[in-house]
Amino acid sequence: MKIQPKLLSSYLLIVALLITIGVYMNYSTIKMGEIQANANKMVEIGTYANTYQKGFDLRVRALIEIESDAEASNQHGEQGRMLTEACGAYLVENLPENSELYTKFEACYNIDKDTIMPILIEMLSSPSSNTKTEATANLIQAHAEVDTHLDNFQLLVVETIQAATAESQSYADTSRLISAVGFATIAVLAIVLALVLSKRITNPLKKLTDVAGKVSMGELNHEIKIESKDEIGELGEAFQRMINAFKMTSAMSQESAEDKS
Amino acid sequence: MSIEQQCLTVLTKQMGPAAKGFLDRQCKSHLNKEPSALQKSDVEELAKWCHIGTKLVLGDQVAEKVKADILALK
Repeated sequence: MKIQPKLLSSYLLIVALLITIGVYMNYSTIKMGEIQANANKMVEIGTYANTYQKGFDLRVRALIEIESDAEASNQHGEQGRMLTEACGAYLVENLPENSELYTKFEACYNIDKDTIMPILIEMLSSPSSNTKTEATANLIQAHAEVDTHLDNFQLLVVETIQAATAESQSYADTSRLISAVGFATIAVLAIVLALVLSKRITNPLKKLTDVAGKVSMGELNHEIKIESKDEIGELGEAFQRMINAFKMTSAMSQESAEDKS
Repeated sequence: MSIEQQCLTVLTKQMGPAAKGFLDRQCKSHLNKEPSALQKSDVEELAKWCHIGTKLVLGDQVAEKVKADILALK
């Protein structure tokens, strides 16, 4: 192989390694970005679920206060309703359908819609205190049920965020490892290639220089042995041919002189 | 290409510009003819003398190569 392709292929090998590392780092960064975006979304969902739970607590508090402080009860009831409606709508819209989170939240939503709301309507419409006591007991039970579901929901959100963080960390660790190993490999490869190539170029040139020096002093009995098939090998062959020509010319001149004498 | 030209090509590879003088000398001294008059039938004899002449000056390895290359012209 000629010198130029040798140098070019070494250079390309190093560039290819750098590109491979770059591509992987880019891929990792994109993946980490996606994971981070999902984790952020989960944090947002967790915050909304928390607010939903607070709204729900306010509504229960309003029910408890209904006899003692009607004004505060109205205020809390209204606040609670606004919070649960707004956050509930957000969560239903933003949770991925058929996901475990969606199923868990849907259970709370359904209890609120199918159990709590009818009880509230019944309480408001019935003046009987017996009915109210029974309804309050049912409400407290339903509230406990929703609370459990919301706790599970929050737990799942936290687990999802932790899993995303772990996955992101794993990508970051792999990226760090690959970049460290890759750059170390490239550094070693570059040094080895530089040493090998420079030796392969300079050693034959040293030999040639040495022989050229001797030939210039009239010492023609030297043979150049360069194994390489590159430009330096060709230079060696040409140089050997030149020495042979000198020898032959000199021998023939000597013979001619002897013939004449 | 004539035999002379082919022989010159073979010899030039080993001894450069000295090839012409060398071939002249071998033909005239040992084959008693001009290089331009070389025939295929002279190749074997010429290879022998070139081998001898080259071996004396350039060594056995070059001489063997020259002889083989000339004989290949047959």
